[in-house]
Amino acid sequence: MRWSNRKRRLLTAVLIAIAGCASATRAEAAVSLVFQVADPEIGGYFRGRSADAERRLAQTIAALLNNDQELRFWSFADGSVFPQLQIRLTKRTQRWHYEVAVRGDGSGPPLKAWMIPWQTEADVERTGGFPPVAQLTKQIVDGFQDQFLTQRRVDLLEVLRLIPLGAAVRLNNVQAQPLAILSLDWSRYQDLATSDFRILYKTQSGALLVLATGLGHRLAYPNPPPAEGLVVRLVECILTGGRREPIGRHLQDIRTGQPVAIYLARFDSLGAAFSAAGGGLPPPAIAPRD
Amino acid sequence: MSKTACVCIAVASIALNAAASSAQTAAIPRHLDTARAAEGVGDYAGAAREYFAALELSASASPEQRAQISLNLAHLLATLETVPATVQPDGSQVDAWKTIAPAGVSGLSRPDMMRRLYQAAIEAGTPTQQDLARNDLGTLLLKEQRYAEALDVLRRLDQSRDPARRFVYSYNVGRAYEANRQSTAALTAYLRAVAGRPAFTPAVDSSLALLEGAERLDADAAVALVTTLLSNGEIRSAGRVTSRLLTRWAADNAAPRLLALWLRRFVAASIDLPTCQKSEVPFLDSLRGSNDLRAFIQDVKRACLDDKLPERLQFGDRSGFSSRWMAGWRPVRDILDNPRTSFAAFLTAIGRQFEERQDYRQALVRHLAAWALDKSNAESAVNAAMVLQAHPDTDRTGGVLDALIEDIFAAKGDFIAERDWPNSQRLHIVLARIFEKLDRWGPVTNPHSALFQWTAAIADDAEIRKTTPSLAPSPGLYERLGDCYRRAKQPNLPAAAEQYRVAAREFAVIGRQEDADRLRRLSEELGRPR
Repeated sequence: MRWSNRKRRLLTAVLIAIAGCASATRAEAAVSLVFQVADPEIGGYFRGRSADAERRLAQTIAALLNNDQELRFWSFADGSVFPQLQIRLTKRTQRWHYEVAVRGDGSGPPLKAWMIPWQTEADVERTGGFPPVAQLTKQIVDGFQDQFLTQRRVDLLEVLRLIPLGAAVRLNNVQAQPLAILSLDWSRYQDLATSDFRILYKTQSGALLVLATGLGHRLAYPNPPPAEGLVVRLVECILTGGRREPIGRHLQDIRTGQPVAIYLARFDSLGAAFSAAGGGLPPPAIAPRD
Repeated sequence: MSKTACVCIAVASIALNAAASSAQTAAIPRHLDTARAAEGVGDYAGAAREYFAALELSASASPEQRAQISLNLAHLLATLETVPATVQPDGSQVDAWKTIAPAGVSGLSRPDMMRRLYQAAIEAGTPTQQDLARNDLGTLLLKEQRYAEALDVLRRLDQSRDPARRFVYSYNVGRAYEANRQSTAALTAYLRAVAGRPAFTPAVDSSLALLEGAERLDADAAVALVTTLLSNGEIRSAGRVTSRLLTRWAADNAAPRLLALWLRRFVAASIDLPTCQKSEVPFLDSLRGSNDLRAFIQDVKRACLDDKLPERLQFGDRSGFSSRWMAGWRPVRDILDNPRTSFAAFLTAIGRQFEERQDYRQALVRHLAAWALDKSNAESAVNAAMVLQAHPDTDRTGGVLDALIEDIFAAKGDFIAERDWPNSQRLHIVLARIFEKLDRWGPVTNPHSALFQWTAAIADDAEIRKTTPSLAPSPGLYERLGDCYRRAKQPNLPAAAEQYRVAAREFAVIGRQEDADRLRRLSEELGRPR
């Protein structure tokens, strides 16, 4: 059976969620980061302490990602669990590269991989060879930021949408509309407040993916923490095979089912941009296409 | 009552009124906060109550505050469009607006109430608030299919004033133009929206729809759209747009420019050879285009699929690529719709893929072909030189290297004209290292010597620093030049000493004191009279 790319990605996301569920007690980080200096020439500069250097590089890059305006919604930390962002520094034909890959699990091909050129031997010759270790580490990080993060961030964000931001969801049954509170702490995730999400539920009739849209507000999330979560309106359901159905038909399934994962479906940076613009003004209306 | 008493009462009354008015105005923010919180949880009735309460109190508020209340309330009313009607016990349906409208305005329809609010904001608001009100009013008119009125309102927007919102304004102006069948103006507005926010898909989709649906291809607009997307990392969108435009306009005279954009997208997306073979080539095969386009596509396919390309591939030869790539196209850097330079960039990317496969001979063929096409881009020459240096077996007779060097000097004018100094410098460094390995140290006047190449690399360094003064120092260049002066058949020790002295100074600047000390000692030793 030929599957479209979209269905394949959806299945991948489900598998990542199930894997995450199984290791739900692991640390906060949603994405582990591994850095490997695979080129012996550069590795030699660290004089037998490559493992320390690799860990420092992973920690530094994780901090960069955690400070990025859009990437920060996933928690990055050096570690070896999955899902994982792998960065290998390699060398081919006189040029060093960053081989970057996002992996959902340890087996199978990566979700996405890039080969990013860094510098050539000529560049290193110009500066009289590689600098002392402290400067070299900084150069490696700066190179990664310039060549990958700056130029490939849209690509990276696309892939990260397959990795859950959280899991717990509380339905809000009081109002006429089907609303829910996501266990995404307002203090950290408020810039996602008007974004779209996919919530994966495990129900008696199988996996159910619910599309939800952020309303731009927060409500108290009683137990467990966070203190205040994002409020979303549940919009529609996607069943196996990609069939879409109104939310009303599956409310009972949702009420009795278990939320397994929350994915970012569409990042509405507009909400953040408009609220950052200030003035207490509502977002501008956008004319629909026919 | 005495006059004094009357005055006192009047003053007291004014003061009391002022105090009451001040208290009312002070209550407005509380109502707005409560309204927004209610709105956030879907309690539209509660939110409406609070907004109307604030509106009632706003007579004594500032014009800006009145406008803000109007805009927020109008936004709430717009949201009600998505709220289902309430079913009454008798089976009749009451829409959401009717259930929340206060008595004073319940006779108005929801759109009429919104119009009233927008007008109030336009009259009282700051320029930013006025723009937002015009935008939202214009959008309402579009939904009501009152297209001419919508355009009239939206044209009064200042599309450049509000950085956060102007891309939406441009987009809506585009929608209004399109609804009024003014496609050219619509496309201009959409492109402005894309330029303002390349990730804003509605503007990209609307631009694409107009470009596809036109009677003739507006190639310049297509190029502007894809260039904006590629320059901002929106590679997937760029791919979607170029593929659809190529499908639609394959037979157009300007199709080669679209193919050039497609090639650029390929390079930007770092598509690998297996994916190229599996999905990109079949797409190209599906296009029904002119002879020129078909010839170009044939060459693109060969670049991806043919691992037996001849070593000294010529453009125009039967076994080479088509001469059409050269005809009528000058190599101009940073122009993405130039088939010649785009194919060169494509060949370079494919060449790297062949390097990864360790098929260095085929990688070299592609790098040299890229260089032949576009001598303003030294990257391909650098790549070719690097392959030659790392894998000398790809050029057993040395003929390729010699031809490359002759070519470089013949093309030097293009380098200078196009200012690719960093790659020019890399090229000189790679060539210098090749000549060092071949033991060809000097003389400095011979281009086939390390001395010549290191000297040229230093000259390029000076050019680079004119535009990039923050470039890190280049002590390596001076050290290596010093080495050449020492190792040449006729050593020039004073010249070597001078180069080491400069290198020492540069190393010291970047904090590499050990290297600085080493070269300073060497310089002093060489500089002593013998």
